[in-house]
Amino acid sequence: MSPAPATEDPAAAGRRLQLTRAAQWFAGTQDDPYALVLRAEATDPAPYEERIRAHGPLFRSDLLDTWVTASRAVADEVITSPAFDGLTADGRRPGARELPLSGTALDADRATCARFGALTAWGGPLLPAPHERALRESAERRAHTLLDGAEAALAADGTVDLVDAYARRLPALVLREQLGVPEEAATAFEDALAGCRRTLDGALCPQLLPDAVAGVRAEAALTAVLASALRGTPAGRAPDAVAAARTLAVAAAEPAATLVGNAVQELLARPAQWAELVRDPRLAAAAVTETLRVAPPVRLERRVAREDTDIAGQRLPAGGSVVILVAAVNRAPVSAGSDASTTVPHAGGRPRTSAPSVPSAPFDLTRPVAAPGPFGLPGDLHFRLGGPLVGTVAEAALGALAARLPGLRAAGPAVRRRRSPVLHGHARLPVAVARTARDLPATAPRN
Amino acid sequence: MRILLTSFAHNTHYYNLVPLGWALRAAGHDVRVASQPSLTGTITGSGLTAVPVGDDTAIVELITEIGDDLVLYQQGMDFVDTRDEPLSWEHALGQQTIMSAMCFSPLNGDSTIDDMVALARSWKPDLVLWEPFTYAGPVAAHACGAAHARLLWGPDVVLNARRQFTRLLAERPVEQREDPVGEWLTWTLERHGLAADADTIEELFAGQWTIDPSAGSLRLPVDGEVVPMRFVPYNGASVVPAWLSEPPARPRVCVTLGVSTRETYGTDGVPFHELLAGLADVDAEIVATLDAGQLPDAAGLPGNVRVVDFVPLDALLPSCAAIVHHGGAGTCFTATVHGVPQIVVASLWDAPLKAHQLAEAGAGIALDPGELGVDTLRGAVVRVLESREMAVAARRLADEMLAAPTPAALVPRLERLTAAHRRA
Repeated sequence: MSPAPATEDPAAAGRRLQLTRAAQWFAGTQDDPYALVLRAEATDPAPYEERIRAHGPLFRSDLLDTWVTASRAVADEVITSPAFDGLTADGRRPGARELPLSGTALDADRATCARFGALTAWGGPLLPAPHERALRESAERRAHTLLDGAEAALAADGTVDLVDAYARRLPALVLREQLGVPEEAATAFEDALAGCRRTLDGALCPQLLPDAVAGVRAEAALTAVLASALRGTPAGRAPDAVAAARTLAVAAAEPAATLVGNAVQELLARPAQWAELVRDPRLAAAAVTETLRVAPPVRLERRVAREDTDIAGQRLPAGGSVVILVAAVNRAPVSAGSDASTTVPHAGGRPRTSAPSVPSAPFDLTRPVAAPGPFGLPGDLHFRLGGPLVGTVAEAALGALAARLPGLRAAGPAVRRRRSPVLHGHARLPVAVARTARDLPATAPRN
Repeated sequence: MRILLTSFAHNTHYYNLVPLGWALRAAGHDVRVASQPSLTGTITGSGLTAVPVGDDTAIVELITEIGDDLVLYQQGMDFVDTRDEPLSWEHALGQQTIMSAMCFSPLNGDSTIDDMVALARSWKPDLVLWEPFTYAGPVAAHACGAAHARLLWGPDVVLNARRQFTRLLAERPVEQREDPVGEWLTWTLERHGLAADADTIEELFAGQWTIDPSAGSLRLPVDGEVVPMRFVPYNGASVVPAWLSEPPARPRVCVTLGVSTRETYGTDGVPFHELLAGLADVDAEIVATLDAGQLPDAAGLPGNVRVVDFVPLDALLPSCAAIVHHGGAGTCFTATVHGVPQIVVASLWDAPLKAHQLAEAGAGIALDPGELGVDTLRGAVVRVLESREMAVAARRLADEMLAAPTPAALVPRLERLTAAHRRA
């Protein structure tokens, strides 16, 4: 397991984080669209993503030394080709020096994740649920318990923060149960897990120094809780057990919370779609698939070339980074080689104003299942461990929510966290429940 | 009183403090100047007492990291825009992000601040007067309870941008707020065991009061107490050349890049040889302050061009009808106080704003560096020389500057302000 980075000289780390952020900001002022994606100040990064697509299947950000793609074909190749991995050949995360205190819980390459995966398979020592259905049913029971509390809070206050009260807590409860963390360590586990919520963003985007320091401390605390929980258990005998458990937990927790939050936002923005889910909560699986397509919880996937590699007509040197724009990939035509982008003309290599409007099919729960499905959480690295749990927990969360709170509605604007270009994570998602039949969606059952 | 002047190690940033330092010394106060060691010779050369603090590690680190072209990273700062509403949150945050990482933090490295705080705690100054980038000064003042004030060298773009930033910050959802300069000042204070509440941060940012030598009509709107002071030029150790004692036979035009740009960046980005050749048929004597590196072939220049390596602008400008410069602080203030119309070719920091202000006031012409060419420069010079209105407008700005109290006359007010702000 990688040791936690030193926090002895926070000023030096803070200076470095600020310098990295300033370099990203400067690249944005030079009109680098990838820098503007990382800046993450826009509510909707899609226009910047489309500008990247307009450069062709593989855009080179010179200022940030990164290749970026919005092409499904390139994305699929990067995820499946052995030439790419999560870490460099000598085991380093690209940009780690520029991003001190950014958390190490997800720093594992494919081989390591494959090894961990043996521990976190269904019915394995770290994921005792024998199959997806068992996990979903367990998650549904937890969801209903949480919704008891949410209903009480709604009755008392009128509104509740769905992320804080539900979307972030449910994955934590499920993970705690699966990983065998005892009740007395529940608060420590949940706090530590929540404290690691910036890990995915921190790998690409510098966090504020207090947030970065808190993240490093949370990671250490999470490691300690898991080590204590696994000590003396059969699962704990595996030498990788604590690292695997930590990878599973950090990879699953915040993406699951974000997926649930994104799904709820998509659904509440389309009352007819929410009414469909209320009418048939089994559509929760479709809601997860549609959200992965339209509003994926992890928007940026970075891989590093392990050797000099030719891709999309360009040569990436060993150590070069490629970032996949997940949401943009899902907006692109599916068939390989037909990326609309390659035909978009642009002058002087800077298609600043003429981002093409790529038609994106709207969120639709009754869409026939397409093949291939959306580019979601790729299974080559940490999501090999956490990905199945993310989808299953989100499905349980959405089904239970529709069954219990059919009158759910937004209660004020959702707020995303600052410096969250990867997750666009929620800071809060205030919701309320319509109190009268008149306020309910037209087709919602009365109960 | 004990008065500590502080400037990061850059000569022209320091020069602006010197006349007030002399005035305070002549009034009997104990005056010392703290800066990184590379400025020691410049300080002693100005007749004041130096205290070397810290080192240049942080700035060298930055240069190593981003290359030596700091100018590049100031693109997008765009202080001209800050005068107009509405300013976007993203633009304001970008200014603070770049200022903190590329300017304030490297110019005030940890070792500099540590030594400055130690000096303040041992020497116990009553007042710290600081160059506006040198935040080691107010941090040290805060540590020892001294009063502290900024002395500006140009329009107060930093505080003006800050005022707009904090207003926009307050409108953001709390989870999306960030304050890069505040973050840096916070961890800096915490390293010295000092509390960093919001009021302290803003006081350190702005100074307890601000001494402003600008012409009054060009001041930006800022909060806090502004103390006007007449600008008195100090050009460094100077010798007046003999040719300056002869009155010029034709209108004289000074063309200069300023000491700062030449010494810091070493390059011009401007084809000077051609520009000067284009002025051959203008009925004027052109005095170009350029060194051999900038003008390798002085022999081929027109007969109306006099090339000098260095001449004190305070001695040269009273004889000039116009000046062409890059918008540097000392050059701009010196030209303004002598009532000389200015053609400003500006790209750095607040220089585009100054060019814009002078043009608005009718006292000069703003030339975008991208538009600088033989024809545009020649056209601008001719326009200035032929314009009676521009000379009058420039004279008006000079009168505004001269109306403010001299450094010597300001000393009693500074004594009163110090007594009011110093912690016992």
